[in-house]
Amino acid sequence: MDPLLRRRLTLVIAAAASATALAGFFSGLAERPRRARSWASYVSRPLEGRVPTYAQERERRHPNRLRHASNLAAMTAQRPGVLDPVPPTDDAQRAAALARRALRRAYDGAPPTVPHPVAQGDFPACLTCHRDGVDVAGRVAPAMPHGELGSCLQCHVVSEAPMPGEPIAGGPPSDNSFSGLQPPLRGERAWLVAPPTIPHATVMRGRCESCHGVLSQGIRSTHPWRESCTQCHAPSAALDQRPMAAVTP
Amino acid sequence: MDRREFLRFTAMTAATAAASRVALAQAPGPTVALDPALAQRMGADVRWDKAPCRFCGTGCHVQVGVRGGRVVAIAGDQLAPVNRGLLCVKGYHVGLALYGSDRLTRPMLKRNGRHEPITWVEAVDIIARRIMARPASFAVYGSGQWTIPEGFAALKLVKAGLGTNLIDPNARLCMASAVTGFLSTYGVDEPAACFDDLDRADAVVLWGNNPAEMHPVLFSRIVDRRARGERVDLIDIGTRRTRTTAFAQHFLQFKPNTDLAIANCIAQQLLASGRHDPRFVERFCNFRQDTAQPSLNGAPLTFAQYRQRVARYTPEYTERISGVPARDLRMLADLFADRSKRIVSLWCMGMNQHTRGTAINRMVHGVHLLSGHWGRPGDGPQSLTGQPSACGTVREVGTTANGLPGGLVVTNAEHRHEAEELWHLPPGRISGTPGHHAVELWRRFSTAAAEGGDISTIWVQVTNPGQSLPNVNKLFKPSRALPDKFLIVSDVYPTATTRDADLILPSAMWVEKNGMTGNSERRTQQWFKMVDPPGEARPDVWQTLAVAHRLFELGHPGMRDRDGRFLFAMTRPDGTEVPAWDWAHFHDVNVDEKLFEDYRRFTSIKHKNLAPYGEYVRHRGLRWPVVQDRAGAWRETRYRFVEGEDPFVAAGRGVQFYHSVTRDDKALIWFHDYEPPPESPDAEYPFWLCTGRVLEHWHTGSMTMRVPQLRRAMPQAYLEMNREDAQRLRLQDGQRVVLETRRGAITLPVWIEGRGAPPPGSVFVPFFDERVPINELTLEAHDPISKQPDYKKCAARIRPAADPERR
Amino acid sequence: MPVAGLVITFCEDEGLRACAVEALAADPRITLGEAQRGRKLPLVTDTETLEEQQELWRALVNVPGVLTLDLAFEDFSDVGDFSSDELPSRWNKQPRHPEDDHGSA
Repeated sequence: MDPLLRRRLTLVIAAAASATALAGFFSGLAERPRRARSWASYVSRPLEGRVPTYAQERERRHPNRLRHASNLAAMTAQRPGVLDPVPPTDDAQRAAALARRALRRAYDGAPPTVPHPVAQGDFPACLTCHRDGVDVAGRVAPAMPHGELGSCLQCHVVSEAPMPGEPIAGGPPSDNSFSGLQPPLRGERAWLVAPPTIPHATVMRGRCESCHGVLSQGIRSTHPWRESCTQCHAPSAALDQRPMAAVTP
Repeated sequence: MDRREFLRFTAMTAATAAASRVALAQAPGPTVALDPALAQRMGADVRWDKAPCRFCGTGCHVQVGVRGGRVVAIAGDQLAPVNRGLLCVKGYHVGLALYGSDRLTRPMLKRNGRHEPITWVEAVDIIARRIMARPASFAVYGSGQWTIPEGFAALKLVKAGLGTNLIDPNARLCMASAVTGFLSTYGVDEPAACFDDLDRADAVVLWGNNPAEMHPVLFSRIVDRRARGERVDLIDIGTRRTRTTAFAQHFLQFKPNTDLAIANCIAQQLLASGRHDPRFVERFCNFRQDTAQPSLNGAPLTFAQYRQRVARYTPEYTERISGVPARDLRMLADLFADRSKRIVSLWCMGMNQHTRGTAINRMVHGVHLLSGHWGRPGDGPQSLTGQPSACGTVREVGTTANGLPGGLVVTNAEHRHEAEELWHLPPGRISGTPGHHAVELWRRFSTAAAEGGDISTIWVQVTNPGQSLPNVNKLFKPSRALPDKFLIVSDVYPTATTRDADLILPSAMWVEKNGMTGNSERRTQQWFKMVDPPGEARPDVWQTLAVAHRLFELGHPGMRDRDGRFLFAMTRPDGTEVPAWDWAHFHDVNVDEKLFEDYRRFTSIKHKNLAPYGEYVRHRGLRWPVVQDRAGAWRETRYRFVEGEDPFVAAGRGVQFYHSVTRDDKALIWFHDYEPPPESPDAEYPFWLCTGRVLEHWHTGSMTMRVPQLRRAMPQAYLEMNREDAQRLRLQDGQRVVLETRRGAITLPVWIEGRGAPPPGSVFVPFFDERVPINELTLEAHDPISKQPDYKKCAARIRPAADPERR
Repeated sequence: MPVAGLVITFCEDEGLRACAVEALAADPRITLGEAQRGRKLPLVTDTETLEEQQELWRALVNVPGVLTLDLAFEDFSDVGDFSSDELPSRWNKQPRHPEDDHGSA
């Protein structure tokens, strides 16, 4: 192995390990005269509320923000417990739930559009509601089904014009004949009461409780207290677009 | 076995089982035969294949799901090193761009003011005969969205066939200054660094850049590190607040054009306190400045002279020019003085669409060189591109007025000779006179022949100059009223350009054809055709081949090589010729592969080596130079000019700029003074006008405005304005106003601090909306070296629209 | 004394992968298993403390060439090492409210 590369790799590991020590070192330099001032000392000042640190800043300055933390706490408290009785679901409710889902997606697997206004120019506080999901007066803000990604609006755009004023008439036709992959109805069962397989791709949808958790309607799990879903419900290799190891011309 | 050993054993058994399970699950193809009806309902009959996204220069790979001959789904490609499974909203909806209701499906000729369908045979014949009649007044206007083979075919037709250099791309409007910046700093174009830097940098300095909207996946690659507990600081140097600013620790708001002063100020502080990197500068850098007539190579400067020239730019002096507080300028210099930190500079249109674009590009490279923040992973300048193949096609294939494939130029006799040899052309076929850069080309097309407008026919491919050229009232529209100006447009949808075109050719797009592109980090990518184009739409590369062959039939001497063979002759493995120019036989060979292999021979001349076509089929892109190791495997290069990374750097050199302008393996650090922009606000036109893009729409919106999800999220253009200005002018949010510059006026609604927030005295308008043609207002003033126009600053005034106009 | 079994997924680049494997092999806290088809490598980490384990994992995902890191086995026999609200859960059901952090600080 090339010695240079090797040194670099060792450095990667060493750098991560010593990060804490360095931070302490730099903050100690904060009061020295300007010429020798370390750059890090500038950053250790308060960040004027512009920095989404994911831990503390996510609720700032957002129009949909639940104004009082106590309200959020109250709403969160209303969330059904995992051991509460599960209301039965019929096929019609299920179909309605799937139709509702499809309304906001160009195809099954597309990032859903956002059915409420969001702060256009700022870092919105999406995670206030969508981190764990909350029922806001009968309307469910689902928990995000994927890991924590910072730039939510990169994929999720609003479903109505965000700007004020009259629409401008004309322009290119907006109708489109794309017909997207529809959401699957049910997974396969090997026998009548066998646990069904997962009938959709699980990429970016690994957190089952987002759609099947206690807040969801129509496609809710009957056994929300069980956490390890894939223990019984097998993801289908055929549905996952990953197996592209060999691409044939 | 002790307890710990037992634990380790158990852990290993579990991990191995898990690994083999996952590995097996990734074996291609379904393992269980499903009932077909069930399979369809579950999407198991969807065939997935890889393709780079159609839109920006990030070069994300998507997985395209196809069923029944149509694209039905898109997913982020998890094996793609660029995006690792993530996309942006445009990428997730890229498949819908194929299915707008008004796709162009038949060739159309304008007769008596109306577009009437004609056959392909007629269309190809019309073009060929116009060229035959006046080859020296025919030009091709191409694109950074051309695939590599498309651009190569067009370039070969013009330069090797017609013997002119009348070809230039829309990329002239988008990254020409980045090119001249690289050329005059390192002697060769394109970034030395790569996106891996974004995973390592401690600080990212954004120079007039809004990646949260324009390169969202790269931006997520940076900020998502925070969610993993890492620290990365963003310093946004900009003229307006954007979504990116919301994520930044520091926002340095500067007055337009004063970024040059800021760069000088960093250098001044580093030198004044001896905190530059003397070892790096001594070993690897020379100094330069422009002469009275700005040029690519300028005049030498000593280090002492350089130090003296920047001495004026103290933080206090620079604060007066730029409006950035001296304290923030000190912070910036202290950052660059700290070599324990890794710093990436990112830029795109803010620095490139600039009448001093070459200068500021050079200076940002200079700041990194001077401070030694260069060449380590996570530590270096990184220029971004806006188009999917601005690098792959325009810069590498060389589809410009001066270019030849592989970084060669027509003004160099040796390069011409080399190209003539590789193409087997008669000596002297390639002209040594450069063609016209985009602005000049369109000026000549929009000027009557009698007044020196010597361009009579332009063939536009994959771009929309009727909306994207600056000052379209001067550069584009007049041509539509002049006699004997013939505009040919190959496109997929009706646009502002096709509206008044003389001949419209319906094109295949994206996965309706084979393709290759090259992204911002030198990554060459490949995909295969997955669905058929609609109606009679055909790939641009076929259109070029067909016209070339029609010229060959009509006896144009340039369409033959030394031995009289057709320039684009293609053969089967058994040696028999394939008439690929005949649509019935176009798919008999992989035309892309043939053209790519022809092109590839040029790439080793300037160390831009590419691998054979087959390697790109197997990978989600490879970063050039791609060279074979001793075992025969093709290896990509992450960092150019760095020992141990770049195969062309000699052992023991550390860093070697082997294309150095000064031929001593050193890079150049340039000095430029700050100068005011060509047009600034005054009493008559008191506002700065800046133009640009938004997340949802790509360039002129011809594709994205037809995607319902994107259209709904961003249905129309707007005038973005500061609240203070709106109150002063008594404007309501949403009110329609007339925005006017010395070149034109348009009516549009106000959006007060909507998507972004410009400072008082400054407004912003996106250019995606053809109903709000903002480029009727912009300035065609351009950089003296790169010839790239400045879309980011001119003077404007605003008044309420007299009647609430309802168009 | 946390012991864990993990699965690394490497990127496509064979050169990078080789470098990464070499870098991993050099760490005495890591035991490498047998690479599976595809680009999966099982491995075991054995560290003195949970903090060290977290540091090491964080470093692992940052090694160039490593795409993802999946946990397959974690030894919970030393549960005394955990505080009660750190008990492992795929998704922490009751995250502390961000503003609580300010209060307690």
